[in-house]
Amino acid sequence: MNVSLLVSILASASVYAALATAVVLVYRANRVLVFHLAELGVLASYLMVTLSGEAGWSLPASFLAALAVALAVSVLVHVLVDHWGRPFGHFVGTVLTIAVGGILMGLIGMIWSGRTVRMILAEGRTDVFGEPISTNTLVVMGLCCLATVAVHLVVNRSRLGISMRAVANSASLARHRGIQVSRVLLVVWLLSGALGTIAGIGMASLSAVAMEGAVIGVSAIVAAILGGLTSLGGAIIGSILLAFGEQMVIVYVDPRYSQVVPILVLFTILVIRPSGLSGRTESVVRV
Amino acid sequence: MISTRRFAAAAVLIGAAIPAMTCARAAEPYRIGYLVDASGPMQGIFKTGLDGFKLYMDQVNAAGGIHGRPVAIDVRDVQIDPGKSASSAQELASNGAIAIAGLSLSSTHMPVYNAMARLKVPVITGFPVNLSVILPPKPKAGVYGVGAVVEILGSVAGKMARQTSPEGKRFACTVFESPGGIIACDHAVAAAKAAGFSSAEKILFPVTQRDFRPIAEKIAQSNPDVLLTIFGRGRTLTFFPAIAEAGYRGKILSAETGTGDDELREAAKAAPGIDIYSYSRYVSGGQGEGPQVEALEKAAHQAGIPEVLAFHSGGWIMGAVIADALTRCEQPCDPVRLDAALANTRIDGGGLTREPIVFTPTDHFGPSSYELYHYDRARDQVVSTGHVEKASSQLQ
Repeated sequence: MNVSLLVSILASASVYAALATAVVLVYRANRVLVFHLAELGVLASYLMVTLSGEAGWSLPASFLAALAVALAVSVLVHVLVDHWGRPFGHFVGTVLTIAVGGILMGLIGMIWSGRTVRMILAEGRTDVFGEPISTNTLVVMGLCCLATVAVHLVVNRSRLGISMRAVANSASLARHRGIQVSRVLLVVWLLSGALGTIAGIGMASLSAVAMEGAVIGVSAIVAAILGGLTSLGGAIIGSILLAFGEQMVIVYVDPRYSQVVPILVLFTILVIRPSGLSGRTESVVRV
Repeated sequence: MISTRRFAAAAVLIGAAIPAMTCARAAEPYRIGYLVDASGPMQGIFKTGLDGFKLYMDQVNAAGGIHGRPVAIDVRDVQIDPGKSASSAQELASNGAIAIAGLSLSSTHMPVYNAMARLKVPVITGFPVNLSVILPPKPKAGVYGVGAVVEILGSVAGKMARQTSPEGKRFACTVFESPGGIIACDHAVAAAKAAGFSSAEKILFPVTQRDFRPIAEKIAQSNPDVLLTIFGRGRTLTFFPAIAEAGYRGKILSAETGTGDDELREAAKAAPGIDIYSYSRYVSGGQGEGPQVEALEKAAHQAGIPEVLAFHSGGWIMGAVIADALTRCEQPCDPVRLDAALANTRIDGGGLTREPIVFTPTDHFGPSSYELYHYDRARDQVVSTGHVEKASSQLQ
């Protein structure tokens, strides 16, 4: 395997990891499996490329604007799922995110008519182990890894993270302990929205800004399930395995079968190890 | 008993209504059903063909229509769904469509053909691709094509590949997975071997694929001298930079199946070091000369279309074919009579395509020719090489 292919695998894995972490984050907090994050990322990437291209904004400014819109959508989804949908159970929450994903795609189709546009975050090449690699790919990898690690640090090393884990364990008990559950859930949705935005923009920069960019949502959910669905570390391992499997199949077997890989992996993990690679469910003994 | 005054008033009303009704009847439009992917993964290709078709029909309507009747286009967004395509065609036909035009991905064609054959409503498939069921000696009844039959498109590519690389040994064809794409690649591979390439392979990928980095790695590893891409619009922009990034430095031959010169130029700029060619049945803006080229350029300019692309030309010509058949259709024109008119078509491409569009009862596609273009990096233009491949509708 050459360096270029290895970097390509790691770049895809970093995008999947950011998105899978977002999926796990929400699932741990309220047992809702989110399906709209990839679509949110596509929306953000279209906004960013429009603002940075046609409107002439700088890349950082257009990124912040796209992030702001994605976070606003995340707040709406939080209200929809955690307030209106909560009485009907987790399943309804999941279905609501599917509906939001559909609405976002409809909106994107209406506004941008399915255009495909290139979006490069960084020009040029960088030497990696003697092989010139696209700087853009390295920047995308860096951004996605940074965002994922930051969220891991928040969850595992901060008071807010302890509150999140408490809510994940038992919302009613956390409420009794004085934790503002609604506020914690809002933060969870905002973090997942931010991760979805970064992953979407990352994938758009690796390939192109296109409606088809939303297909990574399936891979990210499979990576999250592969990692046990409640384990943030497991989501990263699942992402690496999935990206490796997909790209190996494309390069050494047949590109047509790459889209079967997530389904096969999902089937295999459900049969062999239903609780995922981490093999555990989240439990907090003391807050 | 009706009073004289009431009778006179009624007579006046009826007298006034009869001409009005006659006028309304006379102005009743010819309805053409049009199937298009307007919101799915192939919308970038097919919507532009519709734009070209509309531009032509707008011109016809502005000139008073055909036999005093306007042409109305009933559009249905079928994405790339075969079932939706067939049911939409049936719905359009039951609502008075005299013909079905356009169509989407090749996998949606046969269900529409079969559904319309039962209703005896003719189908005119647009640019970019048509299936070979329209070729002689026994074309499918009521089905016509003004695009590029996938087998012919592929065979021409094999010959064009030799033009781009006289000494080349390795050839590869890559296309998204659709019936038309697979058949086109099969024929391209066979034609390339016949043209002297010692190895020729095809590389297929899923229709929704947009991340081409691993596919580019795979192709760069096999390093063909000529790589044929049959992508339509959207993919080229993503694929060319990826394959350049993967280290490929051969020649790319892009089949014009909706890509557009604008996208080809942008993609080529992002793929330095690769020599890029394309070939097309229809001309793009600035490429051809003739009355239809001028008329399309003018109509596109008035409609605010920044650049005429090959699939605008394809849509325009489809409009010309249907308008011509409606003009010759025995009155009162119905689907069966329109089919009879279509089966005896001969119209000049007016510079938009080199060969005339000819349909006969035993050939619903006719002769076609394809021009080879080259991307000139210094001028940032797609320019003709002057090489033309003529193709008969008889499959080799």
